[in-house]
Amino acid sequence: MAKADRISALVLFAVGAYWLVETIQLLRASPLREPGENIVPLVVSVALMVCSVWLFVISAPKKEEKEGRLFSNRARIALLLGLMVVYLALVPVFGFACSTALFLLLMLTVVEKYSWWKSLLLAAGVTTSLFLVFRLCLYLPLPPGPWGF
Amino acid sequence: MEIFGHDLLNGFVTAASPFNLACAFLGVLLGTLVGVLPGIGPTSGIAILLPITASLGPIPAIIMLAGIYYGAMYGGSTTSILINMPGEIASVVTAVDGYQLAKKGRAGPALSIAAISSFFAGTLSLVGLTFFAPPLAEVALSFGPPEYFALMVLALTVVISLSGKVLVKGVIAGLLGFLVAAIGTDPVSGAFRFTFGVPKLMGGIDFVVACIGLFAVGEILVNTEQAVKAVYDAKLGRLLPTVRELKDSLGAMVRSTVIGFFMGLLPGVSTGITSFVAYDVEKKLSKHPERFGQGAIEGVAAAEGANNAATSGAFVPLMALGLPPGPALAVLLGAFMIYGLQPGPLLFEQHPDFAWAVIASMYIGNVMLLVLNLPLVGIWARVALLPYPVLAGLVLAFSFIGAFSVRNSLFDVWVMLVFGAIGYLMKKLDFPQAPLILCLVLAPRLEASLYQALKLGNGSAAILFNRPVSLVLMLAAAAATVLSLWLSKKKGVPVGDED
Repeated sequence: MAKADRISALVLFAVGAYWLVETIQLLRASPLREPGENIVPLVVSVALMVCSVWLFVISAPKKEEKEGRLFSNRARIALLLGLMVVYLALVPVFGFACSTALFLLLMLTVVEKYSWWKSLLLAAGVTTSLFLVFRLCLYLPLPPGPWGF
Repeated sequence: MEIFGHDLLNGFVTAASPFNLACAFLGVLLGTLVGVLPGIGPTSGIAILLPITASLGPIPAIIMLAGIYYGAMYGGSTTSILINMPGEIASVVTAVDGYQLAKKGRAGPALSIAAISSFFAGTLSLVGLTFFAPPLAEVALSFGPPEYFALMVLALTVVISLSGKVLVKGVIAGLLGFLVAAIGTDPVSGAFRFTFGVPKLMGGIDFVVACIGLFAVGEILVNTEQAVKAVYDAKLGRLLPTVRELKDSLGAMVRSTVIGFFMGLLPGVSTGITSFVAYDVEKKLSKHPERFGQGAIEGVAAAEGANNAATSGAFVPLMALGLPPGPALAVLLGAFMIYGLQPGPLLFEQHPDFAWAVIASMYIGNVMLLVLNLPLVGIWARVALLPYPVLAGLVLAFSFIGAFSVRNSLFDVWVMLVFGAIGYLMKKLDFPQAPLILCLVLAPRLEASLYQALKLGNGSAAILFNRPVSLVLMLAAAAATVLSLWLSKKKGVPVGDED
C-alpha cells in the first residue's frame, strides 16, 4: 500500500498544481473581482497539494514490511472496463437495446465464463425487461439504434 | 402539540393518497431489495432511481426515494443472518449473532426479532424526528450566510474527521469533491471555469452521475476483481419468536433506539458504527456477555434497532438544517434541490405539506416494511440466490439508464464510467468516498454562503468570527480537527464511510 499511496500522492499533487494554475489564470482574467470569487478553488487546490505532500511523507515504506499485491485480478478488471468502454462507444451506433444485450452477453461469457446459451438467454431476457419497463412503460428516452430501438 | 393536531395529520392525509401509498410501497420494496442484494447500497440505489422518478412530482418522488433509504436498513439483516453476508454496512454487526443463530437452526426467530426491532426503533425515532426537526428549524431561521458557512464547515470537518483509516485520505477525498464541484459555472460571477475546453462540462458534473459511478460501478469493479459468487444454504426454522425471546430483546430495542437516534443526528457517524455502539452497550449491560458472538438474540435486536433509529435521526439535520449526515442523504438532498425545494429551516415554513407528507409516509412505510419483512422473509432469502454476475450486469444496465436519464446525455454515462474507475481506485487505496460526495453536494452552497458572508463583511473574513453563532461553530470545527488529529496519532478511528 505504501508504494501505491506514494504514487497517488504524486498524482494528486499534480492535480492540485494544475487546478492552482487554472485558478490563478481565472483570477487574472477577471477584471472586476468580487470578494470571494474563486477563493474556494484557490484554497482547495493549495490544500490538495499540501495534503499530497503529507500523504507522501506518512506513506514512506517501512523496511520490515513486505507489500502484498494490491490489485489481485487485473485481467478481469481490465476486461470489464474495456467491455464497458466498447459498450458506450457502440450505443450511439446500435442504440441502447442491442448494445446492452451484446455487452451483457460478452460480460457473462468472457468475464464470468458462463456458457454461451445461458448468457444469450440472460442477456436477451434482461435487455427485453429493461426496455419494456423503462422505454415502453416509463417512456424514458433511451438512445435508439438505426432500427428505432 | 399543534404539529400533531394539524400539520402531521395533513401529512398523513397526503401520504395516504393511493398514488403516494403506491410510491411508498415501491420505495420500501426496492429498498428492501437493495438491502438484501450485496454490492448495491442505498446511495447507489437512490442515485440510479432519482432521474427515473423525476416525472412523479416532489412528494411522491421523495416518498419513494426515502423509502429506499430506510427500507435498505430492514433488508440488510436478511443476508447478514442467513449467509453471513451483509447486504449493506449497517448490518455487519447483525451478522455477528444473527449468523450464529441461523447455524443453530434459529434463523426464523432471528429474522423476526430483526424485523420487529427495526419496526420498533424506526417508528419510535420517527416520533423523535417529528418533535426535534421543527424546533431545530426555527432556531436555524435566525442563521445568516456566515452562520450557514460555519455550519457547513463544521459538518464537513466532522464527516472528514470520522472517515476512513487515515485522516489525510479523508481530507483529500473531501478536497476532490470540491474540485469536481468547481467544474462548470462560477456561482459568484457566472463565468465558466475548469471546463478544459469541453463544452459539455459547462453544465458541470452532475452529482447523481458521480454517485452512480463511485458507488454502483466502483463497487461492481471491486467485486468483479474478487469474483464474488452468492451462496445460500441456511434453513429458516420456525419464524415467530417465543415470548422469552421477545422479552430478552425488549430492553435492547429501547436502548438501541435512543442510541441510534442521537448518533444518527451527528454528521459522519455511519449506521455501521451506531449498530456497533448499541451492540457493545448491550454486551456490557448483559448478565451473560459471553453469549454475545455465540448467538444472543438481543445482539440482533440491538444492532438492527440502532441502525433503523439512526436512519430516522439522520433526517433531522437534513430537513431542519439542510445538512445530510451521510452520502445517501446527500443524494436525497440533491433530489430535494432538483424539485426546487431547499431543505433547511424554511422547508417547514414554506412547504409544510411536503415536509409533513414525507415524515408521515415514513410512519406508513415502517408498517409496510414489517409486513414485507416478516411473512416474506423466505422470498427475500431466495433473492440472495441471484448469482452475482447476473446482478452485476443488471446494476450496470440500471446505472447506464440512471446516468443517461439525468440530462439525456451519453456524455454523462462516460462521466459515470470515469467515476466508476475513480471509485474502484478509492476503495482499493482506502480513500473514503463519503467526504467526496458530501463535499460535491454541499460545495456550491458553501461557496455561495462564503461569498454572501464576505459581501456582508465588506470583503473581510472577520465576519465569520465576529458573530457569536458562527464563532462557536468555527471553534467547534477547529476543535473537531484538533481532536481527529490527536485521535489519528493515537489510533485510527474509521467510523464514517458507508454506502
